[in-house]
Amino acid sequence: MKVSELAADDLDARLRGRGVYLRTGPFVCHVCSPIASVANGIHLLYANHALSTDTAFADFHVRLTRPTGLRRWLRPQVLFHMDDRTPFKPLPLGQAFPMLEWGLNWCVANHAHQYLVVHAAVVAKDDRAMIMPAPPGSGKSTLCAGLVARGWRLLSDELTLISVDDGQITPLPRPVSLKNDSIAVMRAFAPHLAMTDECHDTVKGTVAHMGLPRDSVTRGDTPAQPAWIVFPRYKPGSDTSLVPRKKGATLLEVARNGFNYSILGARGFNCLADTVARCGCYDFTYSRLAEATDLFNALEPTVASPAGGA
Amino acid sequence: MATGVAWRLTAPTELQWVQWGDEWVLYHGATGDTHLLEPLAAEALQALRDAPVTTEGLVAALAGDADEEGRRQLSTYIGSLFETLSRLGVIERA
Repeated sequence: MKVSELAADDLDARLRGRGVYLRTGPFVCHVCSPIASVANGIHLLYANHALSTDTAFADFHVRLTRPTGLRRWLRPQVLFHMDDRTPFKPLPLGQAFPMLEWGLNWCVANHAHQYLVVHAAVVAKDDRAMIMPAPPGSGKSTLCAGLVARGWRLLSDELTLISVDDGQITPLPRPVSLKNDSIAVMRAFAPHLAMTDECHDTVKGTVAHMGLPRDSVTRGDTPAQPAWIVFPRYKPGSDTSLVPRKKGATLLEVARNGFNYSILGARGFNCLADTVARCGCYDFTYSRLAEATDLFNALEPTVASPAGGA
Repeated sequence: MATGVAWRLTAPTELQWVQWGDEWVLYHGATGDTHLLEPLAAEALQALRDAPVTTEGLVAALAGDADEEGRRQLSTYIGSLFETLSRLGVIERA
């Protein structure tokens, strides 16, 4: 069953009761919440996602609740729970849906050690993946969203899951998190994709979440092969520029963005070295999103250059 | 810089390397650190794989037909490199 097969009221009732078992890529997330904006966000942005009917197992059991006491009336808040843990401080109630998204990212980044988990957006064309590691504010999510709106498949806007066993990238198709100016950019660039209302004054500024094309969700079980590693940088007024970068420096930079690189030890190093060897590596500067997406739509995968060892 | 000091790898079996052209990437499993090395640094480090080496011994092995100034610069470089690698836990005094 897909989320869209449930009426909004029915979804809301289930979330307030025993919860729903939401399939997101390789994970099943058991979500419970009495908060209406959580139900609305799931109904809007997870419409094409499957609900698991097997309630015997979930990778993550999460709840979003409202703290009791005075906070119920004065500046109401939301708390994120995973199992019996509350890993974050409460946020204003209006940030409940973003908190669900951030919390699910935290669950994966901190527990899915069968993958090398890299803080990077990743999209795919013809099952060849482009990994985009970059710090906040670099224009990574905007470029990712723009490519998805122009035919690329979203694997993840935040967490690149590289299999330690075979180097393939596992999709984790969930809504794209947009911040500040990129929200208006994407409303104009991709009016056909659903988007939540803006949520102001979060730790990341103003945020909104964008839904995915159906293909990104329905092909959520199809892995992709790493083909490019691109470090995007939005620079106002700049020309579009794609410049090759060295692989050794690329490996170090991606390692810095690895959530569990140090946990995986030598397996993480070997996995990452193999990934870098298979990819064309670039620095990318842009200011015009349409020009950027046109460039990547014309990009051919490069031939892998295996690393030498010693 | 210490003279006559022999250096050895701290954990030889914990080192892994990959190379692309003039870039060498070293993974040191004992500390979990990853280092990007230039070719001369990689060559110096690999010289330690078989047996402990002094700065002077390595300079003699690598200098070839370099003149006195070249040998002096190489010695300074190797001495500084070994101190850095020691601080990083990659090598230690033998």
